[in-house]
Amino acid sequence: MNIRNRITLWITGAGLLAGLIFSLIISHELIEQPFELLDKDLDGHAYTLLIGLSPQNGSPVSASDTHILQSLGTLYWFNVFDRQHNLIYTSSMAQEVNLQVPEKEGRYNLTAVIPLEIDGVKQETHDETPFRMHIFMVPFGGKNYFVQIAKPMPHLQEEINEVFVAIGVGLVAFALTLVLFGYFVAGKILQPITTINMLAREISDKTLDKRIPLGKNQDELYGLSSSLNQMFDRLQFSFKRQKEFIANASHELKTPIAMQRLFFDEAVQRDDLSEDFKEKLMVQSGVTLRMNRLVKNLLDLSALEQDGGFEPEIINLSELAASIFEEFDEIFQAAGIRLSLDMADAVHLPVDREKIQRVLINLIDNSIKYTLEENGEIRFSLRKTGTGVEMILSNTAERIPQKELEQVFNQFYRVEKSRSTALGGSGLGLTIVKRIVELHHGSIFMESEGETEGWVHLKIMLPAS
Amino acid sequence: MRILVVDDEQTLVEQIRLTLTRQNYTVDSASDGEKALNKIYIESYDLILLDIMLPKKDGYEVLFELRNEKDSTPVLMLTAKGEVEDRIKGLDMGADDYLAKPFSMEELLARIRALLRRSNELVSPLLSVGSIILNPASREVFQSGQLSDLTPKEFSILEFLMYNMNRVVSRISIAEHVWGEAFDPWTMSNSIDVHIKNLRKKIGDSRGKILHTVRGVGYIIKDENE
Repeated sequence: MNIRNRITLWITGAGLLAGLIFSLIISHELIEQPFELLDKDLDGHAYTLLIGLSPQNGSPVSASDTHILQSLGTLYWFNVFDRQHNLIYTSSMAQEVNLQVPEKEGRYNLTAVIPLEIDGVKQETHDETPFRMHIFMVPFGGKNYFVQIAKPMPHLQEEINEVFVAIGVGLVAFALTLVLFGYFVAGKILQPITTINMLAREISDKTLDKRIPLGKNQDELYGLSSSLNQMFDRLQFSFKRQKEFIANASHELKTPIAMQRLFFDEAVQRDDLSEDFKEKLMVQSGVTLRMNRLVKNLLDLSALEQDGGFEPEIINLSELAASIFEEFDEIFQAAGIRLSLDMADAVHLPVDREKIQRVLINLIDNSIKYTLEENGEIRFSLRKTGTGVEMILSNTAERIPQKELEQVFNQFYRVEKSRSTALGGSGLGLTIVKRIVELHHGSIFMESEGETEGWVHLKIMLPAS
Repeated sequence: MRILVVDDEQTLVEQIRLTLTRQNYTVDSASDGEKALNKIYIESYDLILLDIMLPKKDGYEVLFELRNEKDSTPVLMLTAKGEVEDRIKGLDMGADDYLAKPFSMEELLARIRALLRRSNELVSPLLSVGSIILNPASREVFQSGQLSDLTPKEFSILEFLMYNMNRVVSRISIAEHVWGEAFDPWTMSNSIDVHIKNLRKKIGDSRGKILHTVRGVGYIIKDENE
């Protein structure tokens, strides 16, 4: 999960938790509220009905009192007892609805079935209807009365349910808003990081002199940018040091190697040295030449790594490849290697002529070195594809294990250590090839087929633009 | 013969490369003084065409370092027209000749031939040994007055051996002077024997009386009159 989603989740979670606590408190209050009102209502009516009752016999005092008591009786369930627990008045509802009345004083929630025909109660079903009841002793006019009064609450449950539904809907809407808002805010917070990331990605080993621009606010992101910039400073410095070291070391080696070669060249001219000795000198001269070649390749590679000096021009690759293979003709003859070329005519491509020439020469050189001594065969194909040009150089060779195929382009990697040393490779030929192909935005890979012996294919794709 | 062209003017370099390649010379190029010096030390050149105005290190610096290291490769300076001081300075620093820009390609070729002759201590414009005569200007080889039909590589090899008359040259050395820098002389030296065999046939020297094999080392063309 990415940070943006995580921040969104956190904001939503925290908001939802707060909303939930808030809703719980509110809903609790909302549910308590009607009972409190009801209780006050019940207590008030208890006094009202006692006013209307005669303290002597419990019958209504006047005609209007009778009327009030009757109409109250259709809305409220009540029984009034005197001190001796004699019932002195009962409402019409109390006569028709059978409530299981507790004995002790107190406030109760009870349920009972109310017959449908009862007036004053909007009743739709035969289900049990909740009642709120207050049983208490009321001192009135110097006497104590025992009153049981209750009121039906036919729609209470629905009301409560409605409240819960409303809270639920509210919470869902709240959560959705939080998710959207959180996602937006997370994006806002992360925007500078995305920018920094993009800029940092643009800085590759070729553009190490670039830096991330610093904002005006010296905030956390400013700190991050400047830390990254400092890291790039150190990287650039060590890259530069490393490249300089290779260039300097190669420089230091050039002159002594040149002097040695001069010495060998002169020594073989002398008449006073034996043939055998001269032969040995030539072997040594060969070793020196190898060092020379290594220094050359190191310098070339470090130049390629630094700027590359890429100068593309449109050239005819078929013509170039043909002329290069011609140079190797006598070598194929001498080594008994069969060559077959399969090249499309006039394949034009914008490339750096000198560098692509180097690629072809290095590859051919390499395949000559590793072609089987018996059944030596090299094939080359060059053709246009939808996106550019594909070159495949194949030679018969011993099988190269898969994991080594990926390493052949690494510096100084040799598949067959003993053989390549004798063959005089510098171990940088394919590294140089790969670097040049990369400069052309192309790709290169090696494949090997066969059990122990078979074909090794080197495929190069160069894009048309 | 292998020539290094040092100039930062890409179109001129390509023009010179084309002319010299037609003449069977092997051509490498360098666009600044530093690259030029790297190549001079690592590769083997028979002649250097050196521009004075160069990035990184100018022609004088290259010349100074070169002569300071006791490298005697002939240098043909390319200077701007009319800058007499430049020519004097360059010649005094060890350049062997100069050519003022713009120059004709014919003159360049003639001066190159003259320099190669001088640096190999030859007097005649024609290279000859026994009954064989090589004309570097027309790129023709005559054997007893008869024109030999040589491939460009065979011609180059023979030319290099004749310029180095009486010196033993190794296969690798031949490969270095006949192929450009992109080729590994180690690999290319494997084809020298084939080339020599063909060459001997064409110049009527099947038994190696002119073009001698030096066992384990290389080849030599000896001037028998000496």
